[in-house]
Amino acid sequence: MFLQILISGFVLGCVYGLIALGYSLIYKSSGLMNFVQGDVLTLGAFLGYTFFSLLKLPYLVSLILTVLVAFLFGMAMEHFVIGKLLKKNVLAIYVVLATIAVQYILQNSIQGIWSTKMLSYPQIFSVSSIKIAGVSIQTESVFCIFMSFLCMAGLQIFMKHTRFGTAMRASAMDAKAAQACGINTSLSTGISWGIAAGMAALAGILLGPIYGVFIMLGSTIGRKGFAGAIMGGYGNLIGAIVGGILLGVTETFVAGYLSSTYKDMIAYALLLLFLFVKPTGIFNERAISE
Amino acid sequence: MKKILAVVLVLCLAVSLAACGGTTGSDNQSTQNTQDTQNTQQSAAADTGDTFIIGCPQPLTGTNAQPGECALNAVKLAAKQFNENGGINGKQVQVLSYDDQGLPEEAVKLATRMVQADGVQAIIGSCISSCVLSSGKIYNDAKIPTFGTGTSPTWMAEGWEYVFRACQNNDFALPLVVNKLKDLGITKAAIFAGQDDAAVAGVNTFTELCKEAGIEITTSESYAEGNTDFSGQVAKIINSNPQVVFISTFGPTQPLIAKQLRQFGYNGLCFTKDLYQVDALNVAGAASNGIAFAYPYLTYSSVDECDDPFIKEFLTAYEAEYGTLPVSDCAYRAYDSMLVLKAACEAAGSNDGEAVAKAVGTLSGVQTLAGEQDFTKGDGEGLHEFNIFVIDDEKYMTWNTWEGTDGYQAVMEASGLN
Amino acid sequence: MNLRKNLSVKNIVILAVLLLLPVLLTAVGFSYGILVCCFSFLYIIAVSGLDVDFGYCGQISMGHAAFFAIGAYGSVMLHTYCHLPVLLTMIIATLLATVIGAIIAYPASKLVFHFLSLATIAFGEIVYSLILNSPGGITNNAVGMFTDPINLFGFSLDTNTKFYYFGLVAVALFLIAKQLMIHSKVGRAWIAIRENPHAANGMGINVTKYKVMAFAVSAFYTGFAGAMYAHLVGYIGPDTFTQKQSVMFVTMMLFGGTGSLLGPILGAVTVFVMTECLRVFEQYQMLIYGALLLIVIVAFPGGIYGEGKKLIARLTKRKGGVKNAAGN
Repeated sequence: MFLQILISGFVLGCVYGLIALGYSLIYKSSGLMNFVQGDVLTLGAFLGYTFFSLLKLPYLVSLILTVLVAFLFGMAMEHFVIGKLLKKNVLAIYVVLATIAVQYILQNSIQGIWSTKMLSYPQIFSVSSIKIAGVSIQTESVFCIFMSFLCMAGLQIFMKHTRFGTAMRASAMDAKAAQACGINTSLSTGISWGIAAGMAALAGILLGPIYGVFIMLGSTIGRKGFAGAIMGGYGNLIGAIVGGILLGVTETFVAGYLSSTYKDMIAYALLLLFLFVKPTGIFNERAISE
Repeated sequence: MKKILAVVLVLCLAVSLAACGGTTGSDNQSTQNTQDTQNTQQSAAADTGDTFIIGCPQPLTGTNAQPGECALNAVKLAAKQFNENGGINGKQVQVLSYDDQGLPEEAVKLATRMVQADGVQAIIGSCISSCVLSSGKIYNDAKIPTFGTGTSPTWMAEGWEYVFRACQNNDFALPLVVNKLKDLGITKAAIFAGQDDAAVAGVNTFTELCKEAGIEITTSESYAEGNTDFSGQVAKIINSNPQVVFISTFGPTQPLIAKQLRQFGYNGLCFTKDLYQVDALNVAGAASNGIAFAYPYLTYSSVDECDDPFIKEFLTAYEAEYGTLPVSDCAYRAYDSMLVLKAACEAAGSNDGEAVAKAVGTLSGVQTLAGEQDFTKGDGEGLHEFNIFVIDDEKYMTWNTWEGTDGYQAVMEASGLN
Repeated sequence: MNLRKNLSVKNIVILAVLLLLPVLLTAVGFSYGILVCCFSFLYIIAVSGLDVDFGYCGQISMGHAAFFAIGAYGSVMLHTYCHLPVLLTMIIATLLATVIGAIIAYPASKLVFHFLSLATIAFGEIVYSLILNSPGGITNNAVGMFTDPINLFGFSLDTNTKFYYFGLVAVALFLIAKQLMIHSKVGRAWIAIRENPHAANGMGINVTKYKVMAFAVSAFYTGFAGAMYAHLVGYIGPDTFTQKQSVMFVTMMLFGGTGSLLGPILGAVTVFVMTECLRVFEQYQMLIYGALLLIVIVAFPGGIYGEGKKLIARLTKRKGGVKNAAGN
């Protein structure tokens, strides 16, 4: 039972981690907060369903198309909403409210486009489950773990070792100074929002075959992902995955050994403890605005 | 400056409120509604005008949007059919629908609005029991015949004279389930449940019945709405070695828990508190095999699968109207409520709330999708008998046909019963 | 706060309209409007409280539904189990919300924007799951609880019209209290902290103390609104007190404009009336609501009160007014 719980907690944690990566990336590159992540996950699941199951495209193609569409969505959102607000120099909370408004629109549009029915993916891999140390896990779950680590590593390299990543970090630290150095700050913010949305959608298309596709798929996962990002150290990309996994494993263990009724409560209490005692998270990430 | 603004504000408020009142319901009805309002203060179901207004509060957004939409579609379909055949007692039926979002608070606001501003004469809904529970008193006080479409026993237990049910009461179906468990010689059961009103009520009744039947509850696990991963709960359930798992959930959680139970290696018998929907069956696939439930009817993925002529007729009409079949049985519940309402109005000979409510209590042998409904027992409930269905080979079948098959043997063996 | 100045013709007209509104609404056959006003009143109180916390002291909270819940459940439970009169239970529950607010505010006062909003979200979730799964089922869990209307010394507020006048008086008292606080030493300290906590600290202001005070005051306001809510609706269930409700408070506050008397009032009333009017769109109401919200945020990023003031100032060509309004 122990191993079983550990592995499923790990899978769940990786999903949280993927969402947390998006939050951390946006924070690191623009110091902002985005509440849409969870719903982009739902969007991704529905898009993936449309490409893969309705249009019968190969899985890899559907995956890339889904991420691409979500990336454009994130860019567009930054360009038409967030960027406009930032130009007007409003209080940061208005940006948050704008993302909440986008969340309502997105949720309702998804329902309007795809209906309220719960949809199911056909199986992706020919082998339905893999046995690890006597515990069987769905193949899609293994793929999910693999993808979240791949994303983390990819992003880490992108942010630290490419010109563009450096530019993004610079514009987050001091937008004016970065602009003076010739960095297109609005483009770099836009791309970070795009990548974050792309990753959330990726999580969606990965989760679709595991959980089915329905309109509220991402709502709770989105919030938990945020909690994971904080626990790992908000703005830290490795921390995001580690925080997500920590949250996922804790949650599953609480449900398995203590009380499933108070599972969410204990998860949030743990988060409060982190916030009050160690707000910089496991990886001791210094908050940018402080 | 502030004062000018304040005056503007008050004016805006007054105008927008008036606008609100004017735009409720369909346009040709708005003046009618305002006139009705005075009457509704005294007698809600004033028999004025040429229409019979039926209020339909259902969750149209959020987690329960799907059952709500199906229910609303069915009500509209029934209204259309009634109107083509001369309406109810000669009055054309008008459906006034609202989104209660599955929230009790919204339900209360909507109830007040429908009673005071819209002058509704009957209510069909909501399929969320806690919404019926919170708003039932308002309808009851306004003497508006109300047919709740939720399955929890709680709101009928309030004893409201104007609130009825033409669908399943889980408390009536669960004894059937527990008797079946007893017959099978089951002594250990585990519970997996949601935290909503209907789910909790289901668990309480099930636990009570098990205690009487001498069945031990090995563990009782729950989940919060919106969660999708239950591995902790599932591991705990399997570790407690149950012979049956009672699943008290609703909507998208059904296939998730079925898949995760099977994934973790539990292949024994499961009972759900009510219908295991056809879309859940599609999502969970083979993991659904061995899940049973006591219910009046089933949902289908094509009309041909259905062999009940009355349900088939309904499904054909529904498909013709909306281009798809109802995934949720809430469509059946709402349609049946409409049928019973019509029967009651016709029995009363008028659409007046008091007369209709009295007439409901005299109804028996009303032909509905769930079979014949009988309201003469005095409890306001129309359904008292149910079938046990089971899923095998990814298809629904009755328990009796299932018994003795290979699938039956396999599930019983996995449950440790032989 | 000049009494004579406040007694202008316009103010008397406003007062008269407010006092006669239920009669007018009943006369035009739209008595449902009275209930809408009652809801607006309690939202005005809650949002004004939140404005004290955010608009004046600069602390965001995305979990005020928790205090709303404590006020509502506290009052209902005291009334149900201890049989105390409703008005008394409302006051006790409100004080309870205040105390809990102060306790949670103490460690939270160190946190800034993102972290504080997440901490309050977490707090809201914890309170929500506690009422959904209360120890011993004292909150009746998912089933919810029924309760009686407010009883003012033997006079029961059992109709919406009676509640309307109670609500009106409550709103007036709470708004006056808010103005008095804002214009006192405490209020000035809050504004100093909002503008720059480090500088405020340097000036000898005990930042933690004032932050805790602002949070507690807002919990007091929201708690009372919650208690009003419970006895207005007559039924409470856990689903009312989710994250959604907290977001609703924040939306109302920001929609109207922060750090003012009229902003929260405008915001609460407009957003509430807007959601009521959008009901006719059934399943698309959230889509339209979201779109309207987005348009207003992008077009009027200072809230409709701030932008409206700017607009009027521009129209009347009083440059001073522009500067004042844009200052936020």
